[in-house]
Amino acid sequence: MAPAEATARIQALLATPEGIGFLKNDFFIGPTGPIARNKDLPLSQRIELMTRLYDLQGDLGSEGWARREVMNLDYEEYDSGADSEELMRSFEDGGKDARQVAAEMAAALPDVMVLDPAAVRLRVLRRLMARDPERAQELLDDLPPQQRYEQAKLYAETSNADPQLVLRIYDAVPLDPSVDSLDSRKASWARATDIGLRRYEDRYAQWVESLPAGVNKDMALAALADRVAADHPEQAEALRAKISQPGADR
Amino acid sequence: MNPPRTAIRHGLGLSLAAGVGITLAVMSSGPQALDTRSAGEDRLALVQGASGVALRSSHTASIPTGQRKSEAFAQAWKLLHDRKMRPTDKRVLQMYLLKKWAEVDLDGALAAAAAVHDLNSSLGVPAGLFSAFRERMRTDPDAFWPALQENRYGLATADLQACWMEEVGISNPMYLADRLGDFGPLSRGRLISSCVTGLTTCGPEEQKRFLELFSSLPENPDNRALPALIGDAMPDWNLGGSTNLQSLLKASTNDIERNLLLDGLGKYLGSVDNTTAVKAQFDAVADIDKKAAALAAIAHGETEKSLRVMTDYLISQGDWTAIAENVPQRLAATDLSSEARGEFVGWADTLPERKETEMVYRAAVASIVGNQSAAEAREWLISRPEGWKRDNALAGYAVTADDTEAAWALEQISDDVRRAEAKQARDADK
Repeated sequence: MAPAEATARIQALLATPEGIGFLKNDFFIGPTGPIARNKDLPLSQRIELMTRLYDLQGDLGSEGWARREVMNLDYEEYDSGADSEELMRSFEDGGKDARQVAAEMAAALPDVMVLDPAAVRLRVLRRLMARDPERAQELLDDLPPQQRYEQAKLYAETSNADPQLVLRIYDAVPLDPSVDSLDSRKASWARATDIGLRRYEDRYAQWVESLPAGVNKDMALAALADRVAADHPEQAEALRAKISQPGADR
Repeated sequence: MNPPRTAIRHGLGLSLAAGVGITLAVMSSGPQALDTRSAGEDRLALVQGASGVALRSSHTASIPTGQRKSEAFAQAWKLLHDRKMRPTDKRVLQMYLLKKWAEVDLDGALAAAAAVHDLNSSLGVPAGLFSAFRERMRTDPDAFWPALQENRYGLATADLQACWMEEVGISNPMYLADRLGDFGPLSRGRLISSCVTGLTTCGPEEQKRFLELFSSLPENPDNRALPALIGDAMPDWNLGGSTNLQSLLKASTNDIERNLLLDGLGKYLGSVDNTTAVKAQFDAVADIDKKAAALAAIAHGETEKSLRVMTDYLISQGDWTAIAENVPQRLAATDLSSEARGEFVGWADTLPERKETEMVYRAAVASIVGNQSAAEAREWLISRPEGWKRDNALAGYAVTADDTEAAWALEQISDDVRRAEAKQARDADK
């Protein structure tokens, strides 16, 4: 059944007590169901309908769920299309800058932009940070310094960012002692170390040792030393001995 | 080999006839490219229909050398990169192109794949575009060795390595095993996991040689988890059952290898579902190895008969601690048939009355009453011999039963101290 037809049926069912009784048990109303996928309906109406259905099933926080699910569906549909791929390629190749990409993505997602422009901005930022963290910073230029700093750092801290990305992000956003601490950066590197060792195994340590001298290398060395200390105290000691700036190993 | 359907759908036709020529047509629309440029054409044509930019070498006499072919692939790669299409479609075409490119210039193709290194780590280790080389890895593992040894693509080399190990482990496990010492301790787990799967189809000689190679690894804390990887796979190996495992054990002088063999032997014994057979095979185990083999058999045991024989051995040795620590857990985790449950309880009734055997007895009882209605359970429990056995059975039941049944069971316990203990155990478990 086409999403539009299915949606019409659900709307008719919602109008009667018997229909509501039926919908309570309906299992296909989630993110893959016809309402979420019915692009003929405005985003706000899809969310409203989904919320009503979730309410019927007694789900807590149903509006938040419905909103996230419907919006994510729109994002995913866009991300898997040729336009999005082309846009990201243009950014990576230098043909378009971060602001141009953000403007085009916003134009491609007009409904979501109206409903939650901040979410779209964050999504654009994250996608671009994953590709070119240095040039993605441009999107933060209008923010006050501290907010700019925190937003940039957010990606390294909250996502499963690869150690190579964490390095590039922190290279692009040098440590500012007035708004950040060594401890906070070290926590990011601890996460990156876990990810790095899991994926790159022995080659991760080689990579850390090959980094150019500086605070990032010190942090990566310290985090790696912490990680191996229990099983390999001598290796941990050798790694710590390579730290050039005091403080990174504490 | 025909190009992927995606190529046709996007009007991007790739057809390659190795050794003869390459036709690559990137057209603005429609499947004409395929129709007009068939595999086997004796010329190289690299056409970008949309822009009219074309590189042509249109005569048989100018069939390109390997290098020129590779350059053509590099140009095709770039064209594909610039082509607007859905990410999934682009990936299909990239994989196809890389596979054909590798036939002409593996290093060029590898470098291209490595440059598209996926930095999204949330899904574990992505083989990414290196998957295009899987078939080649299986038939020609040596071709990839220089890139791995040189750490040629930095961290992306690790992704290539993971993919390579998976394939070579299946197609040629001993080739991979011979390189065990060439990898650091963190990569050995993946290597061994890959090998042990492939080794199931190898002969005992190769399996034995693998154990020897593994045993020669230097001691390293990172190697601690590795024996378990091998131990898990050994029951699927055809090392020849108990007799062969025991002869391997006698010949082995290396502790790591001995432990692996004992684990394998234990698993084998644990799977025998015949009391006489399991006893005879266990009797043949050297005295020095008996306890380890018995514990391994209990830990991995699948049959009630094996579990009884092994527990009897531990009782004969007075090893009460080992019994208390190992047997109840295994009983709780084993799904015994109703016949086996009955036999096991019959055996449990013969257990000496000791603190260490209490839990064994209770676990045996639980396997019976857990499958009965409340009325049946009550009747069965009351039929137990009075004293230690019945009290123990009731105490075990009181811990897991509902409130009504627990209250009944506690009342039936004859020993005041045991009743108080059982009540305490139930309260703590609630």
